[in-house]
Amino acid sequence: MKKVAELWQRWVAFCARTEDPRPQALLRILLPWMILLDLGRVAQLGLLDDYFVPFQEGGISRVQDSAYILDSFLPPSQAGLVGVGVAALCLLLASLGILYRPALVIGILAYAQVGHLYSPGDRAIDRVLRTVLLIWVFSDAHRFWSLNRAPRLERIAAWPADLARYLLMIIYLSAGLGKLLAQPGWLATSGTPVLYRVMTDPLAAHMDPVAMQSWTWPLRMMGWGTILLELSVPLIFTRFAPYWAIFGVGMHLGIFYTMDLGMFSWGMLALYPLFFERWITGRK
Amino acid sequence: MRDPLRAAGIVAVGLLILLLGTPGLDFLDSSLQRPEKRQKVMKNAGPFWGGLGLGIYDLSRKVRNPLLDFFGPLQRPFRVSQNWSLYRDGPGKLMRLEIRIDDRIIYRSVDNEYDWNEAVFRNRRLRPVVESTVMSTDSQNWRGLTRWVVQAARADFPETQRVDLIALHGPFPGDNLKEHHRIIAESPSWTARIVEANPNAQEESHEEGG
Repeated sequence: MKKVAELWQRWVAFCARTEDPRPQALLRILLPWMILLDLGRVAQLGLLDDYFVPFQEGGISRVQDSAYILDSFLPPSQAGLVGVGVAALCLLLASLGILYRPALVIGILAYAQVGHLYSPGDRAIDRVLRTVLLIWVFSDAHRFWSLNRAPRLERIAAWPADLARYLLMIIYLSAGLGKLLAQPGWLATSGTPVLYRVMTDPLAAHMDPVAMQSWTWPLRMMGWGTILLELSVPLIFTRFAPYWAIFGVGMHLGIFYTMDLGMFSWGMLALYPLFFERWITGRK
Repeated sequence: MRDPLRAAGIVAVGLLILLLGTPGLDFLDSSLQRPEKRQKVMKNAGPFWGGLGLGIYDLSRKVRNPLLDFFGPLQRPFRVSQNWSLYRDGPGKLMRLEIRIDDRIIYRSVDNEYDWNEAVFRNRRLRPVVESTVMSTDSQNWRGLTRWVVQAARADFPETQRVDLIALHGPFPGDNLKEHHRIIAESPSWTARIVEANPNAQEESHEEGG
């Protein structure tokens, strides 16, 4: 019993730790901007009223998630666009640190509504960013590098960053185990590498399937490397985190170069200040 | 008092994240409930690993799944489902979308020669709709995609009388693709219909106008 009490006290002390605010402040700035730039690209392509308006009103998607409720308060032809506007404004404010917590909560809720409205375009990266931003509601990230009028803090609670790292560990582990359980061929030493089909699928990637046929061994090794990287993600809780993250950056840049997944790579990389925390803050 | 409460809250959230997104469990084969399948697992994996695997499966089904039913709805308002099945596998066959106006090709997936509105079709939010439309004839959003294509084609090529969206399928590396199905929209009504390439298949006709 004494041992349990001691462990609990250590856990309480661990959760009360503070840290240099720069990594958390960087995420507060970068994550909303990933979403803003992505929505900006949609606007640039002139697709706002194709994605964020229901099919009956001229949009593309026939299916709205039952959690979509904006059209209960606003005309269906405008509700989604208002949702996009509210999400963009609130995320911008949160990024600047202005009205930080209410702006972030309303921004995430509005962005979730947009996702409920046009679910085919709401992908895993959107869920990753929303989940981390939800954790950031409890962070003091707005007390550094921000336009917030509250006094600047030189130390802030470390637990939101720890919780986000824990979430990212679960995500990478799920991705690695999911690959292996769905397709053991990821580790095969013969046959067509799984990565060949992933990187040459014309509907998701843009590598030439004919030219890439001669890349069997590099692709096979890249496939093994992907699994190794994803399953070794617990290293992010050690002093090796920045070194693990270098390979992670390489993987995401590779995905960006070979595939057409929009903000996926940049969205994930925007989370990497958490892994480079030691180098950013100079902590030993 | 605040510190222990915070520590307990973090444990609770951590456990909830783990429960909702336990790595690997969502990919376990649901047929593992069947006795013959369980016997096969025990035979192939041996008593230790087979027993461990089936134990985890049973624990997930009997304990985790009811908890998921209870806590799962918490994720919906913020749309933060913790199921992380990211890029598990590539497609089994190569597929491309081809778009023709009056039988002239204007777009084909990853083809620099035919790149009409390529940035739109490659946009991450439209890509899944293109993918499902090309993959099968029962895509939920082929009508919306077709309507967009018809409107854009008529704006860019006002003389257009007919628009075809053709799904091409074939084995990798894709040098022998065959038409799997096509969506046809014609003037004056611009009503879109899907036609399967198999001549014995029934023609599906749908009501959407351009």
